[in-house]
Amino acid sequence: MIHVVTPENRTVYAKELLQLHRLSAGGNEAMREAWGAYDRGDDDRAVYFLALDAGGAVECGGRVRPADDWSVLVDIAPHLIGPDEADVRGATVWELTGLHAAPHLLGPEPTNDARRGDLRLAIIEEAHERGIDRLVTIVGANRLPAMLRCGWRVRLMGLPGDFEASCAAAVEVDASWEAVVELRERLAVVASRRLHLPGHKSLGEAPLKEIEQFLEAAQRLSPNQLRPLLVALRAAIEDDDAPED
Amino acid sequence: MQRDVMTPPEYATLRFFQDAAQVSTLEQLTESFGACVLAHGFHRAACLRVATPGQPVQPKMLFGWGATDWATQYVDQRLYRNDPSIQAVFTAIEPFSWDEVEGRSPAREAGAVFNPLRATGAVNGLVVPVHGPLGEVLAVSLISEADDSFSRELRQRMHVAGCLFATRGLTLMERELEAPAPDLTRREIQCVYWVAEGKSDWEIGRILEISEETVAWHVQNAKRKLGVARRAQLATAAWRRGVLLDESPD
Repeated sequence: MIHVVTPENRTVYAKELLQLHRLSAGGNEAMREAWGAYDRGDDDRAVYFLALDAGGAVECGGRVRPADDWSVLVDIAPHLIGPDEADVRGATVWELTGLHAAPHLLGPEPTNDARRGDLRLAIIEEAHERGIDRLVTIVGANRLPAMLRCGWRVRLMGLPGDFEASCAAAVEVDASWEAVVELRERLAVVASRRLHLPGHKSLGEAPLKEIEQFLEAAQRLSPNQLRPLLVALRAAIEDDDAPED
Repeated sequence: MQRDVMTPPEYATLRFFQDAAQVSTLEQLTESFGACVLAHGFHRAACLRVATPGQPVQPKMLFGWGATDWATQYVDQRLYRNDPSIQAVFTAIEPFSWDEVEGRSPAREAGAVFNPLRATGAVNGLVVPVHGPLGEVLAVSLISEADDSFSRELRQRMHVAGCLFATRGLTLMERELEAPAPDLTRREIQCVYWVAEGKSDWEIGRILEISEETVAWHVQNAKRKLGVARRAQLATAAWRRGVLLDESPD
């Protein structure tokens, strides 16, 4: 399951966001705001996508943010944008940054590719549902082959150039419905499994992996199968809440 | 934003980026890449699969532009065993030139690799390492016959263009292998065989005892079914698509 982290439920994922920023090189751990902003793009418009391993640690993730008011590409690296490119500041454009995976997930094994594929599908499905049709990002040239073969529809936006002391290029990821369908077929799935948790304060006390597994199990059960489980669960909670004699 | 007025190499690079996203055959991709590298002073290019995870290192020529027989000979004669650029491809994350790695091997061994190439007119070469997501290692080798100095900007453009050529080419190759083999008729197969042998339509007509016009018609049909624009591409395309070529009439 891919956890979708928005400003509304961000407090639930404080520990996981810190893990993601540690995964990405150069993550700034300075807590600049009360909610723990990490860099210029980490504000109240940022949306994160996280996948957790069996132990609840972040396995891979990334961040998107609307590019209409600010973006790394336009404001820091405009030299990577070709002359005929459509306006990157459009309302239907997200900038993708911080796409990272834990070292154990970087190997060529098919299971690793499937896990990373879950993340990629979740990102473009979420984008499509929110009316976004383009994602833009900057890719280091040595990471470009992986990006070009990952299943996303990727297009180069301009000539390569220097960015953060290495050769990089601006690319666009297609988030159209056709691109979503194509990736679903490649991954042989009906749709991604995304989790949008509410931002209840009390939810922060529950281990996220257990919540994820509970909800995954619930999704697999029919309503008739769920009903007795919910009755038992409610009874267990009431017993737990009952005052001791 | 990049300026509107560009140099020919810059324009050719952008043009290749656009083409690569739209082409549907490996031949189209190769033609476009050829125009791009030619604008940068390269006269030959080849994409080699250097290594696949779990298998011995045995480079294989996948596709290329310009005269590629040098790459085929390189593989057939196993020159990669002494080629310092093969070792460099595994660890390099940026393009490197021949003269940057030539000194890493004993002079005689390096000479055995590079001298035959230089005898064909090559001055220097640029190798673009491509590390795929599933552990495969490829190399796009570009050969220059006129200029042996590769600027930083040229290397950056060739780095990205080379990665795009290799990865998009692989994807197109895989699609061809997955697609059903084109249904060439017996006559079309015979004509493609003799075209590959270097025969003209008139000569093929004499061999098959049909008219020259009929041969031209069969060759045109074969080109359409195999998705190629030029006669010279027929045999390679047929081989890649699993069409067995032979000259037997039955």
